[in-house]
Amino acid sequence: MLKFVDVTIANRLTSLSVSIPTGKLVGVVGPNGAGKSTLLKTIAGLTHIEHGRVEYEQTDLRSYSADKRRQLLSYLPQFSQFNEPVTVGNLLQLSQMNIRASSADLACWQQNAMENFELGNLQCRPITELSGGEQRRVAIACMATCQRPLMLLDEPVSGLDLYYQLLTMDWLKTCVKKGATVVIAIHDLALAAQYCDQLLMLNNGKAVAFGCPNDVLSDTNLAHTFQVSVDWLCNENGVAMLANRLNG
Amino acid sequence: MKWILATFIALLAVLWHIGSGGDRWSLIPDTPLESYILQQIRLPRLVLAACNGMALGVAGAVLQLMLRNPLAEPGITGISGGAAVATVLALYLGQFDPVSLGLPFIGMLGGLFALLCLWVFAGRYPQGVRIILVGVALAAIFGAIIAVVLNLAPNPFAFQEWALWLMGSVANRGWPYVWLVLPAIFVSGLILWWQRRFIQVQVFDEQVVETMGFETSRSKFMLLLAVALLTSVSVVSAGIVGFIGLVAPHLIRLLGIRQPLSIIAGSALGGAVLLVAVDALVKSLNTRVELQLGVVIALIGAPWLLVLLVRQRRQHA
Repeated sequence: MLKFVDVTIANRLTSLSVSIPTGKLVGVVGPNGAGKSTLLKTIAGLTHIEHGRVEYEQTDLRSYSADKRRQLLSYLPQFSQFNEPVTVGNLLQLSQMNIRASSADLACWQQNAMENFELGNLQCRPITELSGGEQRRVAIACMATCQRPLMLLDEPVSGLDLYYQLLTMDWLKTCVKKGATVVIAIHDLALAAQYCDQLLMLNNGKAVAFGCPNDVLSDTNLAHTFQVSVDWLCNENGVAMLANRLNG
Repeated sequence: MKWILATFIALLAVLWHIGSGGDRWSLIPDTPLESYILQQIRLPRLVLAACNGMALGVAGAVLQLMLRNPLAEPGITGISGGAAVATVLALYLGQFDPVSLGLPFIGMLGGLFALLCLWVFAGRYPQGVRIILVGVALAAIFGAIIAVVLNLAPNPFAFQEWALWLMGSVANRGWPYVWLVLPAIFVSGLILWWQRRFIQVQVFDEQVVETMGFETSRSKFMLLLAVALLTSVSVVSAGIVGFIGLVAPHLIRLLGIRQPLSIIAGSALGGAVLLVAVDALVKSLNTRVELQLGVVIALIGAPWLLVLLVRQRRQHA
């Protein structure tokens, strides 16, 4: 269980209390500036918590050493930046730094990441020469090379084409089936409704709703939080939405 | 092929350096006097130039990787300014003779004091941009203090002596300065080796690195300490020699080297070759008084910086 207990971070999160069950794909939705990225950074230990605490399995995450946190979680920031034109293959290797696992496991995860995200033809290319979408795929693959129990992804599908959006979400579902807890910030509500087990809706740093997508993405919540009205189109293949601005 | 060419250039620079400076170019001494000149003047000057180039090249590469800024170099941390201020102040207050070996230690203390200031003002968990901004501010303050001290020089000779020292030179230093520089390079090398894993992951975003199991604050401090040692020891042994720390890592990148550790190792060699070559040029130029190393490097390095900036602008266009 990942638990936020009355967490306050100046101007970004206000008295947030929510319990995220393990082994679920949880989407964090909300308008720009709602606090989605801050929430993920807070779990990752990248922001200073003014008040309250974040617990994982009843232990305050602040008491985790850097190494213990590394063994627990992996984090994908909203914007992936790479500072030297190292090759994709080298990056995947470097992304496994400080992971405690057998070399056979590490090699296997690396190979799987390469295959899952179809990076074989990019393996020897310098990362800085790739397109934004390709770089994003590599960044997600870097996460895949170090499978952790808690995975935090800030807008993982932004910048990806439709095929890789679905591929990424399918991969996240697979991770969840293997027992990982995955928390993602996501703007695409249709994708969130289709894939996430639970959704947390934030607005102005406060939790508006938390639960299954059907309940969270209610007309009232969408109208109140996003100022939109939505018509949903659903079948067994997926979810689509038609949105209109309420004041438009 | 690139490596063969680089080795050939390095060898050429060494031979040029050892052989130049007298009335004629000669590598093998004919008389006891020439032998003495080779062993006590030319060789220590060559080794000191190589060590300084190595120190500055490594310091520049580490800063560029850690601060994720291709324009970073030791001067922007304010550490070279701190070392220079301490040395000039010690001379001004008359506590040390210009040739005293106590003076370099004062300079190193100044560099370490600058590091302390940098760390305190940049905050406990400093981001790259903050380190650069604080460093630039410190460099400006130390630059102003040096200008004030030079203004207050007791006589024109002292002013000229201090000003020339600040411009950088490895002439007439001798082996004692080499023995001063080598331990600092060795200790810095050990620190960098210790932090090699942290250096390697600097290719990732700063926030990603923070979740990769490193005590990032401690690791950053250790890297800055290594940079401070290398920069301070360079300033106290050769004055302020700019641009080597900026240019050497970029030269190595042009050779196609991409891995962070290889960039640092390559910058050590590249910096050494560059400084030896420029010093050989300084020795070879037929001027009334020998030009100061820092000035000649600035004349070569500044246009290089402009080329870099133009290239960067074109890339972003």
